[in-house]
Amino acid sequence: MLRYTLWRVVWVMPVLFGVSVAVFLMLHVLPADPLQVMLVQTSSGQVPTAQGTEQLLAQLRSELGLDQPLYVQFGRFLWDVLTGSLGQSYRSQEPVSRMLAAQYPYTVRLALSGLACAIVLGLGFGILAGLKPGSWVDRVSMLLASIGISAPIFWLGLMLIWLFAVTWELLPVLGTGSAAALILPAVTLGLPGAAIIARLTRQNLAATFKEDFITTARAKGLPGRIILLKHALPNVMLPVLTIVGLQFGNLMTGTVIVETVFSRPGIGRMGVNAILQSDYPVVQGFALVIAATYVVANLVVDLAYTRIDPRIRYD
Amino acid sequence: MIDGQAMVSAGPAIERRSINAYLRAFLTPSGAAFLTILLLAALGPMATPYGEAEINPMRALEAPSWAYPMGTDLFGRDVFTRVLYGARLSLLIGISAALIGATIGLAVGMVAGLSGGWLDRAAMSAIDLLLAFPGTLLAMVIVAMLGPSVTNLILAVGIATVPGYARLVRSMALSIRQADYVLAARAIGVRPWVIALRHVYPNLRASVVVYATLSVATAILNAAGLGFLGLGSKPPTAEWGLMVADGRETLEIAWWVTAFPGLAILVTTLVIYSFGDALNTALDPKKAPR
Amino acid sequence: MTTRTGPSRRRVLALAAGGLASPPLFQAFIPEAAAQATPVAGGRLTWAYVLRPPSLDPNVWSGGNDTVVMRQIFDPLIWSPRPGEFAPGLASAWTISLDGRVYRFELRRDVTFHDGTPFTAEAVKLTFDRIADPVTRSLLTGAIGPFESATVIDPHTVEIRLHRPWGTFLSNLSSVALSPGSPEAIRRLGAGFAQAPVGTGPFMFERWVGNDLHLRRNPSYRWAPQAIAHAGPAHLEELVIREVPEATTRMNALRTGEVNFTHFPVLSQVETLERAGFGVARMPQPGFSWSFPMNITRSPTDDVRVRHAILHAISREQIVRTVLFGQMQVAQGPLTAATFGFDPSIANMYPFNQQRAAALLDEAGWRLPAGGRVRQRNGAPLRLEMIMFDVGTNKAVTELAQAMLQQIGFDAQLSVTNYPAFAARVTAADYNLAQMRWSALDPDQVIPTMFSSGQVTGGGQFNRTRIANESLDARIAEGGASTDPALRRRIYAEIQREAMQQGWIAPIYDDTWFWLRQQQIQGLQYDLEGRPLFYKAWVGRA
Repeated sequence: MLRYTLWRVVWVMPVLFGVSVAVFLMLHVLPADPLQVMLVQTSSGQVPTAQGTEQLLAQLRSELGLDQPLYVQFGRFLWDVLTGSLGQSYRSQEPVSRMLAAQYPYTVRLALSGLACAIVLGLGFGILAGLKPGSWVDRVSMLLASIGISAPIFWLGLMLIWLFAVTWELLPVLGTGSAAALILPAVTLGLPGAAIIARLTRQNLAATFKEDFITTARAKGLPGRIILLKHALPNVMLPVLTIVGLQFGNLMTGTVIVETVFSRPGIGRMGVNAILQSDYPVVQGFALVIAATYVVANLVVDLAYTRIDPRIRYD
Repeated sequence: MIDGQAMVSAGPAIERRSINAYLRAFLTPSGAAFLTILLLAALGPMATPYGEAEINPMRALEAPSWAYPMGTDLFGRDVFTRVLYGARLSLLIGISAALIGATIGLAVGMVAGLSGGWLDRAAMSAIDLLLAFPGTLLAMVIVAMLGPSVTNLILAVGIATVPGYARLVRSMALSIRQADYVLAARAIGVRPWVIALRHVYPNLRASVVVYATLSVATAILNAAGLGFLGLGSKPPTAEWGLMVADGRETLEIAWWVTAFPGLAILVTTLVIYSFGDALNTALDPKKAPR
Repeated sequence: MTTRTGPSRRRVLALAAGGLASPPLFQAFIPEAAAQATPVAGGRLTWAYVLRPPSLDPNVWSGGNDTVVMRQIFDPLIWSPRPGEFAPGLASAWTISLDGRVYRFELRRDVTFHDGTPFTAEAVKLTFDRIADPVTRSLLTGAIGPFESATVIDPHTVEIRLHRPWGTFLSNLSSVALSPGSPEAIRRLGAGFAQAPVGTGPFMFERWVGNDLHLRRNPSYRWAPQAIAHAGPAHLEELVIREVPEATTRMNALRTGEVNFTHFPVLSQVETLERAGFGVARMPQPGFSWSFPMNITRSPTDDVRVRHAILHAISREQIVRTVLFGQMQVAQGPLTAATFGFDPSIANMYPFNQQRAAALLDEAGWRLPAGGRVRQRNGAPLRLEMIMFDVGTNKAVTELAQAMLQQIGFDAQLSVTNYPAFAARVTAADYNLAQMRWSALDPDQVIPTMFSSGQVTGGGQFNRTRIANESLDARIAEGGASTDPALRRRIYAEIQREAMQQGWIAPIYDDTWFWLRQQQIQGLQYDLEGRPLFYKAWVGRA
């Protein structure tokens, strides 16, 4: 058990290394010359004369060490990353690491709230539906779940804003500033996950109730609530955990769109803007942070998984 | 954003299925709906009197009516026509991306699952690497590098689906490898690649097809998301995500410009998921009528 | 060295006189409709702002909106109530040498920075030195022009030396670009100064909350210029600048009261909001109109008939009515109607006329093949490359224009990208139609940049028409050097007429900036460029 844990943790390193290689190579696969882009960005369109450009480019190239062989550059890049220096934004000259540090907490807050929504809503509707398969509660829940999976979240978010914030004025329009402001973004983010969890929970619950040990419990005269909580639910939790683990990627992706739709700060929106503005250092930083978060989160889920299900053994 | 793997690998080992199974799937309600969408996408745009980019500023932002069933947008373009063109584009992207993912994923997965040893580990490490970026974000980064265009979008979304296929195929190949008939074939000395093509692949095919159907839907959702963020096609292309984004500013006075493309995405995705379900049921020997 | 009013001063007076002869376009600090009640101290103004300022260092960063924010935090050395008129700011008096190259400023003695350090000549010197230093990578090098050196004579006297006389210098000094920041803070914070600025203005930096900027009233503020007619600290207690990138969200936030001030509205909602009782201030922008400069060095726009056809094929009225919801004015030429020197006689030179456009194209040899939609000449299609960068309504306007051109047979290809990609194609001359728009008070600040040969491959490459004509260059220089308003008007009128006759640009609309606020916000003032000053603003009762 401990050995597996150690092995899994150690395995994260090469993956992160590979990720940094990929992110580093990003800048070298571009059709546009990133230096040219940087020049335009920093000079706000005021490109100097053609000769001046050549000189400036050459100067920048040697300054940034871009005339060194690739492995030397990669070495520098790796060292910079490990010491926390991720370069400067082309647009604002602000250090990328500082930008990431400022925006990251908002994304984490949103992602966790979204996850909470997904679990609460998903389990809630799933249990309700599973308890009475075939009833209207079941049908409505499953219909909502189908919509939740199929609807694009940017569209969902817009519709929710329009309904709850603009037409009915129940919730604030702006995405930050109060706890209430987090509700719509979190629900939008969590809805697809909730839908999947609801479907799965319902399926598993309905199946579990047919099992023998439930019939035994009923025969023993145990109240329904106890049957549900003590006997049926634990069987359902494991697949839910699996889903949560698998859905984490979608959650991170979702933050990008939700932050844009709700005008919230966060690395997702920062990353998209950087991509749209060809602000490559920020894109690199963004890619690194997202990948690292995802890898670590997967690790946590994997380890939690092995703890919860004693039947699972990885060789 | 369904996890097709969980769905498919939870199913039983699937053996050869006849064409009847596929036909049966198409006869279900969701199958019929899917066919309708395909037909609409293929023929619909030609049936409407308006062009994809035909502007008519005099009739801008008109509510839905007989002349314009889904209203007009900011330039007086017919939303219904553009939704149909968008269907064509989305299905093109979705199916191409699924094909790319399936082809590459199948190849990698089979190699990994059947060879074992260092080749397996190498392949899975590469896959793990790709998996370090959640799907849409990987697509975003690829588009960031290559620039926004339909081809790059297909490439990006396609590559993002490869890991899913690879993992699925690998785990299935691993179990098929132990099957009697495969062991027998190896014993008599049949070449590995012949085994792969003749014995292993046909048994994977059904699962891959179902997974591919589901990944068409996810690809469409992904592509729409990218289009919404401005990383997809260029104007005046009618792309659903782009249409929703463009309609945002006029949401107050012209809800139809945003609502209908969004609904189109929802309905299409829903139908494809349902069809995937139906296909899975049809191809499942346990549930097939005998 | 004796000093007297040198040539630049003469010109300045002449401009002022010229300015008085025609009604001033912007009065200094246009007050809003006279407030009935008396100002109330305290209160918070929350501004739904389009994008978090990447930097608040006025000597380094020059984003158009961000200068408004920096304006509240920093004071300039001198103020400009009217174009060509200058009044004391942080500098209480100044003299200019005979040869117009040496400026000596006497500074106020009662000014302190937000961090408590005194404002001295050292700060002014540091401002200039920073901008001039290539290590700073300042975007404002244009604001110091032929700057040579800055010398501290004594703690409250500083001398600026230029390589040559420069008429625009005083005007630049009144902009926030040359406002001094605290040398102590700059030294201590380094690059961090851009995120935590320290100036002398009526509002001071408090903190960032996410992407929202919180400014607080500067309690020690006592050195407002006389023209503003208010002394002492600002009324507002807090000024919060919240980042809200989506226009619809800005509108909604204003409606629900989550913010009480905003800009860049959704144009379709402006009138509705006004009717609902919100305050809408409209500031027509002087300068260069929003236009498509046409690349005269590349086919097919190298043919003047094709350019005329383009001008006839695009209905500006339609664009303004549809995309801009009638909130902007149709442009007639390179200068907006609000600019000094605008020539009304060029109006309607190219009314919307598709038949005329078609006839011109036929004449130029581009004909429609039978049943085809794209014109051809000797088998080659009439292909037009349009490039645009995606900001605000740019994309929508260009899309509509593209569709209109396609209607008469152009194969109009549109490429909407981010600014760097757009600029790259400009540099490579890989376009037929690009974009241009510029806010500026004087035609001399835009006409040279748009039409002089030096700006084709040099400078900022803003001459996107790529016209390089010596006699034109000479006339432009003449207009810039002259101090006679009548002569300048004549020269600029000639240039505008020629630009339109030759079809160098396809002007579309005159830009207006909107400032929306809740009714309770009163006391807003606007500077010459129509940007708000919050110094006298206050929040009344609902």
